[in-house]
Amino acid sequence: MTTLTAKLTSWWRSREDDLGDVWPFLLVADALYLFRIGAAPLWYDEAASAWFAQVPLANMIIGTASDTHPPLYYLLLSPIGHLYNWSPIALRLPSVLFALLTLYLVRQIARELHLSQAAQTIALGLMVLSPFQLHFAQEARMYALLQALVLGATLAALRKQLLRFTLLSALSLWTHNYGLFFLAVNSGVLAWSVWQTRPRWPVFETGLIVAIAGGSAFALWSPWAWVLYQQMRIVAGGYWIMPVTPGSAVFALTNLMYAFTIPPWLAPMGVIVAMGLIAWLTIQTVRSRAPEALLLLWLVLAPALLAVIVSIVWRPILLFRGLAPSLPALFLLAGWAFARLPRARQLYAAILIVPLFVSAIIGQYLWTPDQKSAEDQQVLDELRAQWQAGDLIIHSSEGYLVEWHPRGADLPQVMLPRTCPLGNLGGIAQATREALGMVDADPDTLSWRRAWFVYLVFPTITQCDADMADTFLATHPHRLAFAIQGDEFVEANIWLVTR
Amino acid sequence: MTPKFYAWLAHLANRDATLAKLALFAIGLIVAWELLRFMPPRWHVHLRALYMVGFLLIMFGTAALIYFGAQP
Repeated sequence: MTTLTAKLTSWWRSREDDLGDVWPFLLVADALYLFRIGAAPLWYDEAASAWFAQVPLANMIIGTASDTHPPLYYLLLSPIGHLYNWSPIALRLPSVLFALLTLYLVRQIARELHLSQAAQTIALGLMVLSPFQLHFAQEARMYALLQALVLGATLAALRKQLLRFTLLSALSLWTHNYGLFFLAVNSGVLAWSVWQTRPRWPVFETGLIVAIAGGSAFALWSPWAWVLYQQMRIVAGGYWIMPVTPGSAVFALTNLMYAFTIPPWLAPMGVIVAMGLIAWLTIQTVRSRAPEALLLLWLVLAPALLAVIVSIVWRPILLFRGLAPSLPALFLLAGWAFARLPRARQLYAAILIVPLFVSAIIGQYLWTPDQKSAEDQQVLDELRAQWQAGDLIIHSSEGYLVEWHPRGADLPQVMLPRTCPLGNLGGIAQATREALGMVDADPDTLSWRRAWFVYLVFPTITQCDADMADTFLATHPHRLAFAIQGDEFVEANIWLVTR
Repeated sequence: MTPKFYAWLAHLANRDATLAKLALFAIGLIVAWELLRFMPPRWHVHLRALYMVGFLLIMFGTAALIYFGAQP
């Protein structure tokens, strides 16, 4: 017993991996991330995660290969979903764990860079209060996992743990295509770490080590490289992300700070504070030329710059959520810079930043259910209440089909067959629809007495698809059953159609 | 594409133009803050204090104006 106690004491205090000063932050974050985690239903992206995770492995691989993400996250989600019956809480819990792991990794990176205790505390405080961290900790998508893997690779690069660097980088590549940008950026961190050891042939040794570690990660991912090439062709054919402009880059960086829930009346202030902070941190870093700050600035800006360059040279791909691993580096840099300020100025910075974060966090709890299509799920409940034997649901596009899948899989649902030459921007490819088991069928060849026609026209749909939906409606007797949304961007109605 | 697509593009263009202006304003504020270093030291301390307080008042004042202006 004494030995056990001694072991426990020793391991508890282990300097390498102790929870020491990070556990209060973990506790608060834990409470924030779990509070109302199940309040919102699964929205489109999360429902798509569930659907990919639900199908047999071969279908999952075929389905993801024709879509835009690699399959690792869905593989991870699959056993959890099957075990807990696809409940939103169970599907979101892995993201909570990854977000907590990220918090721990932030502290470890801070130590590795020899940041002061004050800098660590500020960085961890910003992480805990971050609306973005909260949002993606409660989202059944791969961004929290990507963040943890990339930060793990950053830490491994700083410690020159090559095997760990290789494995974590490879896993991040299998999680999200932005893993490629972060592999390049983390290879830079590894190069810096090796260079610091003053090797005998600096360029040769640094280059060789980075090439071996980064190349091995790339090799582990290489089976997916051909798939990515095919995915890039799909994106090149038309995608929902619009060309990069200075404003859209600001939008990406601002969303990284506040996610989606900063109140509109605080939004201008939020943009000014976010962009001012990045500008100020850049100036402080360049002025000080401190290696740890330059490294953090590299981690903050390089992935975004790479995404912007690819967007300009090839096709628009700048997506703020993909930049998730840059946010902890931004907070570490802010911790480094704020810790050097006098107490009064630290307080001033807190007065500027904390109210914005707190209001966005409150917004997260208040508005996320609406943003995550809670109303669409209520419509499904009302539709069920009016359901009669022989009814059929016909979708004009996959939007509601995906959203309703977790809770409406027992209802017969088909999509109008797509005959248009061009696909909707960012729509689900035919091969993916087939792999997921979505049924495209001409309603006139099916047996039904009444049909609930889900008419959805949104900006990225083609005119041909919209015309097809209009034609179906025009050729069948119908009456409006549910008016969901009707504005200049989206028209969503459910029509009760008879033969 | 549908008219909704072009309405969306126009919306994105408006949003991006506003964001770009706000970002330029933010960068301008920081550059001005840094340039205060080049003022004579006796001025510099007082000007920076004024600048900080003024910025805070303008920021929260603007947020309050938007908030109350948006209320019916």
